Amino acid sequence: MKKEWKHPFWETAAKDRLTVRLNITHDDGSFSTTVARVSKYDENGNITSDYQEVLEQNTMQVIDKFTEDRLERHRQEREAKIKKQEEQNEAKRLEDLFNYKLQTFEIPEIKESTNRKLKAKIRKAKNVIEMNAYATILLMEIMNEQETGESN
Amino acid sequence: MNKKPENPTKGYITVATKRIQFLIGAQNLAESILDHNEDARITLFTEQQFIDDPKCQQYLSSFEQVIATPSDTNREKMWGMANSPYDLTFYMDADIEIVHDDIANVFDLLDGHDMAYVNLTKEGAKHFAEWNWGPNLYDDGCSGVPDHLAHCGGVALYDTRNTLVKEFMYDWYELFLKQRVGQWDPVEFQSIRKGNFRQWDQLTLWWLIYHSPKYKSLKWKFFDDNYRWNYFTSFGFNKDGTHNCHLVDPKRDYWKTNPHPVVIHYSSWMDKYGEKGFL
Repeated sequence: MKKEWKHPFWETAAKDRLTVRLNITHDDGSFSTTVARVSKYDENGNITSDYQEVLEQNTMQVIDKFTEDRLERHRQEREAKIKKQEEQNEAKRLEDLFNYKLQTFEIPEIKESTNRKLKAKIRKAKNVIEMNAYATILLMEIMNEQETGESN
Repeated sequence: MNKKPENPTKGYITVATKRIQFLIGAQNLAESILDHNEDARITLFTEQQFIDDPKCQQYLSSFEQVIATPSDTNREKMWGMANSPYDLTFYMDADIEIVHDDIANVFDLLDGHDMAYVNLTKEGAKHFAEWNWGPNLYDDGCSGVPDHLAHCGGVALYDTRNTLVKEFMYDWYELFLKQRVGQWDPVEFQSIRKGNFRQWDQLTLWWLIYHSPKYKSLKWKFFDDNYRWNYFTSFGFNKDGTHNCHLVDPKRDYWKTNPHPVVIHYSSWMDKYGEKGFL
């Protein structure tokens, strides 16, 4: 039986436990592979034979490198995931905002208004607060015009 | 050879059928064009039932013309494209909004070509339901017929002064309707053995562009500043106001100098059919 310990990395900062890909070529030629957890010490405080085997096949520098690369890879994956989630949240927010704007333009007074400048500001609003503010200004202008028309 | 009249008419068209949500979207599209180009000429193609419905009149006021489609399929857009009243036409889906003044100059981008499309890129592929069925990809250097949907149908810029362009759009319409019910399945489709590509009108477009002998003479191009003309919301919006053309279109470099989209396409998470929103 041939045992190969591949891609080991430290599980702990104390460097007393490893995770390793263990490839075994059996005497009958069959092959098996598994992820193994290897402790440096056994229950009596002695260095384990598996640990010694791993160290015979991989230098400390190599193990440290695998560990650092893995941490860096995970850090990058975490950052990418966070960024993607932020992008999705922002896209969803803007799609919701788009729907709110369409609803705003369903208000009859706003739909019928010819004030393109203010309507464009509603359409370009970056958030709901801004959208509501411009919609309110437009409605107030319409109401003022109506009141002026009535008083004349 | 068609002689092209000088001083072509220029206009925008969109198509809204089946649901009133698309009519509302189409009006918003028209208004957003007018925000940036107040002299724009815009035509809507929609169903006769909407044109006749008094409740729908409020959505038709932004258009220079409203033309009835012959049917109520969700692909009347190609019929509308074939019947554009303008020489130079920019077609857009109804769930699009315009956010940049460059919309006024879109017609200049044809630059002597008959048609211009947005190229669906490899890096953008994960945003599309289906994209490729084989290994020959434009973004991997393929210069022949690509094994993927290369042309986006969401927007199209074209010149109808070449009558062949109108025939192209008619054939796109007729062939797609046959394609999706299995009545038209050309030999070139036989290499497509995965997915459900026959449901897409972009596949019909792929065949017409790359395989139809009738249209070999048509000059088409992709927009140089590609995704500026069809920026899907699923591409993402960054909190600092920037966009992600550089991620979905890394082989081009327009985004280094001109990163802001003109066309925003609300086609990803939108509830187009009902309960949660207008679109």
